[in-house]
Amino acid sequence: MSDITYKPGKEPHPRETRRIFRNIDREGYDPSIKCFMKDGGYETLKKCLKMEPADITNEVKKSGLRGRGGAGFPTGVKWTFIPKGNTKPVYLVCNCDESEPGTFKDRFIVHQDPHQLIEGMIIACYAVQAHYAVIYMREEFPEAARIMQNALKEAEAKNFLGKNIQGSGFDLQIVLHRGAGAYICGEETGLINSIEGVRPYPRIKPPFFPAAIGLYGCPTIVNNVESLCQVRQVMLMGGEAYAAEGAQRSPGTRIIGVSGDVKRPGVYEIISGSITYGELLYDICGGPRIGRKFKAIIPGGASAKVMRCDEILKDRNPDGTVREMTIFDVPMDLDSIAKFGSMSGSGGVIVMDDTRSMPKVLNNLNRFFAWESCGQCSPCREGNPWMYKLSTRICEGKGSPEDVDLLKSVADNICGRTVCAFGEACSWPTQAFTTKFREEFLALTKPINALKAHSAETAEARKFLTRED
Amino acid sequence: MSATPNAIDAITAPVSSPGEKFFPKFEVTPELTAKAQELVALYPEGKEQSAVLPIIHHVQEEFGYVSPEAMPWIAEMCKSTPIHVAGIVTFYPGIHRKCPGKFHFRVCRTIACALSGGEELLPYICSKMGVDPAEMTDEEPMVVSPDGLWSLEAVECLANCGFGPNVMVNDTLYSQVTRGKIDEIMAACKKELAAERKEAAAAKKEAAAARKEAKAAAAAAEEAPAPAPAPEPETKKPAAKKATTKKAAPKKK
Ligand SMILES: Cc1cc2nc3c(=O)[nH]c(=O)nc-3n(C[C@H](O)[C@H](O)[C@H](O)COP(=O)(O)O)c2cc1C
Ligand code: SF4
Ligand code: FES
Repeated sequence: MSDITYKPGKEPHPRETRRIFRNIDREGYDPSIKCFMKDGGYETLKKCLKMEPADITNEVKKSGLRGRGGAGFPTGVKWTFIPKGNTKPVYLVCNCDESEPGTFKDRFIVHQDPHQLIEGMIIACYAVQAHYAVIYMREEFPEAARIMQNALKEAEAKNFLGKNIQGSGFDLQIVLHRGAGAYICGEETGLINSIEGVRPYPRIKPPFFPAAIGLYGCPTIVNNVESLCQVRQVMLMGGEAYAAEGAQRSPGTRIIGVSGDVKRPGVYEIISGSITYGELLYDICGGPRIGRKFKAIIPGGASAKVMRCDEILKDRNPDGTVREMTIFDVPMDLDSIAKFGSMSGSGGVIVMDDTRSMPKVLNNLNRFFAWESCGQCSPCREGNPWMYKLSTRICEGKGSPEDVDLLKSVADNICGRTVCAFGEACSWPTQAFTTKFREEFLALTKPINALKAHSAETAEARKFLTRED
Repeated sequence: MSATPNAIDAITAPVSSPGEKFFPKFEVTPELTAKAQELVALYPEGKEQSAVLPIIHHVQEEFGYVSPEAMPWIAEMCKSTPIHVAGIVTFYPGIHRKCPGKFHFRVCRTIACALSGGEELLPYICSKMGVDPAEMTDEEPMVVSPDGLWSLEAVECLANCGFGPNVMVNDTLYSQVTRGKIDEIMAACKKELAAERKEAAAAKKEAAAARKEAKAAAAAAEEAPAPAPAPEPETKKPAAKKATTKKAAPKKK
């Protein structure tokens, strides 16, 4: 490991542990298969092809690996949801849609180390006995699409893909499918519909997992790019060794992307739970910009609930006593932050300092969700533009104090009443921002605004109802 | 008959754009059909419809956008219906129904980039391109400059949040973009265009010279009874070359 040098200025921080990102920004490394194989690439696959598929699934289960796409579901367990005695073909889809604002980890893998993903995918396909797999890549990665296409060709030429892979009798074809700029294609059933060539409307649950009914009505496993690379890592290290490292309930490394108001934003690979949010933001990211203070943190991509930096969080010690802390003392694993009402999601940490107006930040997010709703269910389709309208009105100083409550109540009424988890994703920010920074919202409002018409049409309609004096 | 078109007519009505002059007009050629068939073959038997997005992407790369004439052809290729294709085309923000400019700018406006000043770039880029920011609406998020050289679209997260503001120009992503960098990028684009034009002009000149030569050869042939080689392919070649440079334009960079 020590023989690796990184490009100047791109060296990993000493507190990082580079596994998945081992070859990212590495000196003299390119996406070719030659580079990858010189480094022991595809050796893990060769080992795996000699194992029983069920043993690989067991190994992944033993490792405790959890998905990195956002929901954090145990990967090995997901694989076992393929119905017993299934006679239909099984498909595997790699979710490389990466459209959650604040998340920017998969892009490095597909641009700089595509073979790592391909090897992980082949192992996963072998484990679930899929002979056809799709990489669903967002359209905004045209360069990566070319690199990946080329990498797939290289892998096929070396018989890591195609018929009778390395003499094992296992066949596999991987196809690259590009999206077209819609966030909802990241939702696994929307993604499947997109591959089927219909509008990417998420499907009604149940079944809760496409492992039961997915692509073309067949069992389908959807996994994130990082998850599939971690699968390779598990098979490289062995399930038990993998499980022994990091947080007990979410072992392994995690890739964290930090954006917003810190001195050194970027992507960092750390052992899950080995550092706290404070250590991440102060030690690794260099703290706030000069003369500023941290104000709020969104810990897991735009849809996670925002946390106030000055909020006192109460946690229970093992002996039952209560311990007080702030977000900076919370360890960076998948579950710790969930205890305090937010989520660690896809690992995108967005930081805001004291120069930022929280209503404006929320307004930006509301615009995103209003634009990206697929329009299938009415609470989401109608509620999001409504929330956007309300937050815009508040930001423009035309809102009344009641608007703040109305804003929250719209969010409350979307949450839990929709086909897909977008309903939660879009309402959590509004719920959290309006609760935690209520005074900031109220400060922008005026009670008199409640009596004013907000549009020309309303003014016209009210013409005969209000006295003009 | 009523003059107001129904919704489907409105969707499939052509939208003209100055950008069109930088792209060839949609035309079904044997190569295009072969490419579509190749894409369809990637999907399992009987699942031709899956190829709708890949074919649309190919059409966009070649012709800049998905024109109303292209939709029935796409439908035919993936064994679907034109209205289904229209449904797909109208769903995705990444599919254009209007031709973008030769250099298409996509500016990220989502939170992380907004925190680093992405949105403030929009009016600046607009003024440099000579377009009106008010023209960018939810229905038509893309604006094209009158000379067809530039187009601008505000998009959501480009997945490079730590290094905002992010701007994509055709296929290239630029991060930590400032006004100065916008100036640089636009200057480089203009240079690229000038080089392309020069190449095209040279090709034209070559073609003219070839034609002249052929003429002379033909005249000589008339004098001497020896059969002259057909000059046809010579004169055709540069014309074809011009078309390919034009085609390759959106893929560059
Ligand atoms: C609205 C929405 C957007 C999503 N976007 C993404 C995404 O961009 N990338 C991703 O990997 N997962 C995304 N997911 C999560 C996927 O639905 C799915 O849980 C994930 O791909 C499973 O992979 P994993 O088990 O490896 O985490 C999204 C989910 C929702 C509800
Ligand atoms: S919740 Fe929103 S995004 Fe999800 S299916 Fe319903 S309308 Fe579409
Ligand atoms: S917010 Fe601009 S790239 Fe993610």
